[in-house]
Amino acid sequence: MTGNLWIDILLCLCVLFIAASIFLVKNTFSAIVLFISLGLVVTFCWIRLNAIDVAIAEAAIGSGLTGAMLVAAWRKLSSDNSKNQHRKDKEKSE
Amino acid sequence: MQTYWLVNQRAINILIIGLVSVLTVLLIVAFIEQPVHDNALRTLALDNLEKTGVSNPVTAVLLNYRAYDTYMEFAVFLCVAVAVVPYVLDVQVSAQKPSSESQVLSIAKVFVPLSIIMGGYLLWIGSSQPGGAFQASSLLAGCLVLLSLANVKTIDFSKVRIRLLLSSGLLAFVAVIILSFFQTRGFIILQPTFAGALILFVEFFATFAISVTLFLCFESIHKGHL
Repeated sequence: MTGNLWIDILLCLCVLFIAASIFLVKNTFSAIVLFISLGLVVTFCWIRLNAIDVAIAEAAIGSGLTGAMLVAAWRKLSSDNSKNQHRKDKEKSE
Repeated sequence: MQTYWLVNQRAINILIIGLVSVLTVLLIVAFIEQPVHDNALRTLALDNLEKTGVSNPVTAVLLNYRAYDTYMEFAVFLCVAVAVVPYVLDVQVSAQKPSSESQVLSIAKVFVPLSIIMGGYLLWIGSSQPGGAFQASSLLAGCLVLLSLANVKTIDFSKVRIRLLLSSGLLAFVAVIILSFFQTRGFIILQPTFAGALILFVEFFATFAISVTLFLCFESIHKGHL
């Protein structure tokens, strides 16, 4: 019983730590990776709460699909940024 | 002038910190003051489980006791799909050829058949054990995402049949509601003898509708124009 309690406390601390570091990191890509890992830790929390249905949905949608969408959006944003940078450089050289 | 502005800014900061602290304390107090949850509804739900046509309590709540909420949820999914479709309409589907050397393609070759089988299993097992339409549909959406990343030609959203697939979950639910109205004269009251079959019917179409909607959301970011 005490072992289970320690696992729960560890999970809570992990969730708080990862959620806080999402806001504290400067790099967008690190924030996305941390968001995906937060989803995986929350999946463990749902399993501890005996909610396997929610755990499957959280792992698949909350972590997998949302993570894929965020990475796709990040790629699109960074390609736009580099294009803008390129244009600015051209204007400067002209 | 400059110092005045700084003092003002500091006052605003302190004000914000104070307000957030008060809100946090109030939330904690409200959480502690909550009355202990009595499980009257839980026993009521579990006692009538054999009338719902399924033996998994979660599926029973989602598609029988609180079917109205799920019905609304399917409507929301359809609204999302309608809102996102314009972003992918004029994207060339077969513009890029999948390269046979692609690593993603070789991963997809292994995982797509596996996840389709897993999705079917999750959908079928949903009536008695954890699983169901949402879990199965997220697996299928994962398949589609993998195929899209491998540049395989997957879905052309300008086709009418794909749009029918997008709305099939809601259409199936409406059909079940109308049929059950003729039988029981009530709004979403399923007859116990047919409830299991009707729930499976709704879940079957909802699986495809939700998976295509989720994939559409991904595709609109991945290949759609801004």
